[in-house]
Amino acid sequence: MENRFGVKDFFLFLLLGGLIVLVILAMFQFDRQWDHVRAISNELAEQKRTLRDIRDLLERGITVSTTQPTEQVAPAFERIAAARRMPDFAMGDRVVDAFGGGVARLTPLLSGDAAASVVQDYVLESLCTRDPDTLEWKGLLATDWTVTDNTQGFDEKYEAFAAAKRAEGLSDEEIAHHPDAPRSIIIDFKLRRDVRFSDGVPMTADDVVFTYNFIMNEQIAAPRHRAYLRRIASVEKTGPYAVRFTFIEPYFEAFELAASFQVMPAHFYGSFTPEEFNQSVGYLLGSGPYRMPNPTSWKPGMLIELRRNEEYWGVAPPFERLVFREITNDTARLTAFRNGDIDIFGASPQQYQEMVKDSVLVARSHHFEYQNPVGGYRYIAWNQHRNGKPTAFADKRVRQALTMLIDRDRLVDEIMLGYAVKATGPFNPAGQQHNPDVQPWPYDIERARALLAEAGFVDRNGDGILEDASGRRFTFSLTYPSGNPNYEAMVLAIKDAYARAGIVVQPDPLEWSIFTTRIENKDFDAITLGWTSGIETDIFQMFHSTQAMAGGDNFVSYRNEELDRLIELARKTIDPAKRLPLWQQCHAILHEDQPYTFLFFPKSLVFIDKRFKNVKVTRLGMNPRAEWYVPAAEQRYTQ
Amino acid sequence: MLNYIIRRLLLMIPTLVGITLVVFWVMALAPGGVGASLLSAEGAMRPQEREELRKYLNKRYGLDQPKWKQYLRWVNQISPLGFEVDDAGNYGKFTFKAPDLGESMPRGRPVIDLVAEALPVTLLLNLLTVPIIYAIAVTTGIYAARHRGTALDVSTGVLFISLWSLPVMWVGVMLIGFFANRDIIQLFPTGGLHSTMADQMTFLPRFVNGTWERGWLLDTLWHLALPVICLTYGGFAFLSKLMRAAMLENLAADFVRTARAKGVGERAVLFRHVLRNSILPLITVAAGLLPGLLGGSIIIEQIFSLNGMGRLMIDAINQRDRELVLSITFVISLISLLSLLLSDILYAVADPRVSYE
Repeated sequence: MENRFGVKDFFLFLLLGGLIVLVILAMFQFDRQWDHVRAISNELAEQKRTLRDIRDLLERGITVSTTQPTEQVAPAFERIAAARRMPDFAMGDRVVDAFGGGVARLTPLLSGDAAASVVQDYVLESLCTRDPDTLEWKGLLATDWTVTDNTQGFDEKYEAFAAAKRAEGLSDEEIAHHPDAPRSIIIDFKLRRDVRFSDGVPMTADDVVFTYNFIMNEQIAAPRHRAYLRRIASVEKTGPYAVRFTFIEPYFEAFELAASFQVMPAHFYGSFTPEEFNQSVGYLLGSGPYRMPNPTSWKPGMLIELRRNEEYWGVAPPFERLVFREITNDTARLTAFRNGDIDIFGASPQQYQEMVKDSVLVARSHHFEYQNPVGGYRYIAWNQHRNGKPTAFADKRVRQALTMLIDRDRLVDEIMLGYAVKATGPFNPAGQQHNPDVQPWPYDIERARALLAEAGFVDRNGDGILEDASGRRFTFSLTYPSGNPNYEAMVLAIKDAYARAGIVVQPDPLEWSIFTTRIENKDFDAITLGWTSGIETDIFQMFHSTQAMAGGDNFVSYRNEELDRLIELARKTIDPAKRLPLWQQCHAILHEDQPYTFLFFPKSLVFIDKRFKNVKVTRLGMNPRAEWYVPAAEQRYTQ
Repeated sequence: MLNYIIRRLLLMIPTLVGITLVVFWVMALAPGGVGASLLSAEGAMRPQEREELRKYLNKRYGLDQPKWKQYLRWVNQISPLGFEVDDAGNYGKFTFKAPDLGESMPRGRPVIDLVAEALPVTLLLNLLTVPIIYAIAVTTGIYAARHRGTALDVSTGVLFISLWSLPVMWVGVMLIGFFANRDIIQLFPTGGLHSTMADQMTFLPRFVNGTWERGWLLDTLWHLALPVICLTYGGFAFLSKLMRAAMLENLAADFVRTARAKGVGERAVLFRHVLRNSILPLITVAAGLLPGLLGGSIIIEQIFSLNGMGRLMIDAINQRDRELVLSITFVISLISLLSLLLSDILYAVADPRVSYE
């Protein structure tokens, strides 16, 4: 009898396959259970340790004092404390945010993207923070600081010292780090004594020194951070809770560099070899108000969820968890916001305009449009030197004319739909470097034509296009990053504007890597792009003549000696009262010279779910999430 | 047969060398080097550190050596038979060693880790789609062949071809916009693999405090529903038509006439005689599917925010991540060649007339 493969065998195989699938699923389930059990046992271990500490303390005896505690709540928490006093304040609920791109790693120093630093800012803390409204520095991990300013006559002293040491044969690098070298700025910080990392270990000055040495270790893959910190000569421990930052040469951002130094725990990060650290993806542990559920086990693809640090030394934030989802597709993200799956949505101008008209959406959420101080500006950069020869843009009159040919108000209205502020220079109009006396170049075609004629560009043969003295037509290519609809619309508008004056523009979209290579080699006519800025922007990189070398950021080869002098002076001036007028003079010079045509500063547009209260716009952008809260009745995630 | 298999396996080596050589040179000649990894979120450049980063990467990965040296270094790294290399880059003896897929430069992580994270998602998606496509396509193909010319045959043909002509990127976004939208009807989630509260859920669905909770397993399947729909709808047309054509060809054959004359029932004729012969083209196609299983679908993954192999590959290309692109290409080519070999062997098994002697 033939035993053919029939229907019954098919079902047998199907059953077998089904059993295998169930076993695999069961293995998944066991893994999940195991993760939960491990998390519980970790928490129990921490609790046991806390109880043991308390028991030890009780056995040693506690004195109850009637005087006020010597260390007050850090001034950085005043605003959060004010939020807590509001009548309907309640702890609890979660904030669900969405990133537009994947987060590749969360380990500090290694990750390059902005999304990772958003997450890290909740877990790691810096020595000071800026007050969102007054912009003053308030102590966070530091209680007090003194700045010793030796910048007077520093240059001569340093040169004398350097000359003497060079005669002994030391290199410039060795001279800079020589223990006897004169130091321009010395900042002494006193640290809080009650700070604990989220695993209970107390923070001391050793952690600050460890962080500095860790970053400067050449084996750690953090070349970007090392570049920032090269101005620091040393970070030394001057007491169990005191550190001293010494700077090599005077630099106006010295205090900011030291104050925004994020302290990494020595006992945690010191336990890895450099190779292990470089390859890690999710090693994140700090002293901040939130913590990763497990400081080592995060992998990309896993949900990023921060839990409230119950051992936090400061005022506990209201939200029990912060969740960061990853939704790459724009439409999906908007739909997720409409569904209430995410609580915060950053909109493009077109999306924002649509959403504001939707009454259901507006009833369910707050919406804000504001000028972000670290938001950048868009510009057109005119290359003044290409292939060893000066270009048509080397003439200041041509650049001024090109600026006057663009109706920037119209660009703001039609492309950014009004959600932008016209720019007259590289400084944020809301900031203090901005010179209020600088008036933007007007949109004036006649005046522009006159300037171009002065520079030698006239329509000589009646074809509607300008030619120079040798009969060559005025045409150039405008290069921009491809794949971005904002840039495309803008370039087309610019092309149209210039066509009216008789200038032919060829739009040249390029893929990002090729674009950056072309810029580095200065192989372009004009580009349109954006720079990010800060509360106080240092324009050295972009406009100083020494940065016009290959690979530098002054890729238009712009030179102005007066500007160079002002920039150098401003960078060395520590006193803001003296420095800000210098930046304002720079602004005036840049406005006159127009190395870039400064277009506009886009505004930030955001929708936030209405259940969050105390959401405000501050001078630093939206106020920190620790100041928000959700009244008990409206909480959505309650577990 | 064994002879044939060994010959084919040995022939794979020059093919693989050729593929990797071409990919390596294309990547090496492509403009825009490591600069792509400095992309900032809004397309605005960061005004510092470019030079530091480049010096660091050159030192670490030997990017400043001549290209042919770099290629040979990579071949040595990936081959199971080669010179051993220790951490400092010194070469030891020529021996058997474990192939090392290398390290992704912009991310600084071993390639094998990246692939191990992306592969399960892609595999899960494809292991759900392929049986569905096959089940529907084969049954409709058989049915259409049997009832050729009827309304059902014509209508399924028209339906499948029109489904095939709908572009995936549009359908994906439409599905999210209509079926995942609270304002219209929310049947499915907007994307991702798990809900926000997924780790609090039990594995199987159950009633918790009176409300029905989906459970982790059903939650994952629910999240996969829309991506699987997007992946399957276009696949029916090709296979169904193929099946139908093969069956029609066989239904007109002499041995079928003989079988019917013999008195064999229509059902037995169809399933026991005709089907076995018609399945041969499908085996060929099935073997070609295996590389696709691993390659992933970049569009679906982007729309539904799934971190699969497609996303990995496209990110690697955009960042000019040479090690990652080479490694993934190598693995996929290897699997393609092996699956072609497998389909040839299955052919010989299914059809006794085929012989490789």
